Amino acid sequence: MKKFKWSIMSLAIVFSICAAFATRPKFDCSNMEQYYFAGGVYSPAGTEGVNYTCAEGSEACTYYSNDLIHFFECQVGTYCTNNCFVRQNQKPAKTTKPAPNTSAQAASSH
Amino acid sequence: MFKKQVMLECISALLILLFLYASVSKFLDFKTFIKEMNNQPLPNSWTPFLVWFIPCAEILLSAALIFERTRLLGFYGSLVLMGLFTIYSIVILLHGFSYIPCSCGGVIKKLTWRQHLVLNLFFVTLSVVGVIYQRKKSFHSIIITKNSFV
Repeated sequence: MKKFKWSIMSLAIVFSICAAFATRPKFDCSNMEQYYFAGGVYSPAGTEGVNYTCAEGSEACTYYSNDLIHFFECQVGTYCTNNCFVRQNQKPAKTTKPAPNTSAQAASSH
Repeated sequence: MFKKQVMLECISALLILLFLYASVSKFLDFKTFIKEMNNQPLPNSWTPFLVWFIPCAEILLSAALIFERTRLLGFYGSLVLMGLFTIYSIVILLHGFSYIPCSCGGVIKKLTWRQHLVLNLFFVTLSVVGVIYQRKKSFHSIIITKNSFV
């Protein structure tokens, strides 16, 4: 029984650590400056969790760029600053997240 | 008895697999984890505490589940932690917060909140079964020890 116990435990430990290393993202675009797309213009999104959040959704939430000319999709979800509700016709609820800096300068147009 | 012991070992191994994978993934991509935590509909002031507490608790629970002496405590801890995650998933699915945040964490990131809930319920069930069997086993071994002294 002891042999079985230690072999199954070792397997679980080794497999979980290897799986964590194997699924580690190699390039993390979210560490780069994030932009959001609105009205044909890419604007700086600010700090995630402070200025904006990516709520559940299938569209592109934020973009990143190396040259400010070509923008690539980064985070998936709905770009959400405040008053971003998941249900229609819902009364505005109090939000704990502060509103984004609306005076953020437009970075570049696509 | 042998079957139950094998089952206990398998349940412990599955919980260790989940907790260790989740904690190591978080530490390997710690910056992203902080961002994801800020993205949750919880006060941002909780982030510095939660980003350390959650992965450390997962590692401690994994360690507790390995050893026979601490296994019952590990099962109780798993039940509490997975129960809390399950309640959080339910609140999110019931639109209890002003928005639905991303469901983050390694490969588990790719799951939707509904799938998350199913996964959490599965591990809550495993923890409950673990607690019941381990308690029975501990009770049984206490009786055997007492009888051997009589």
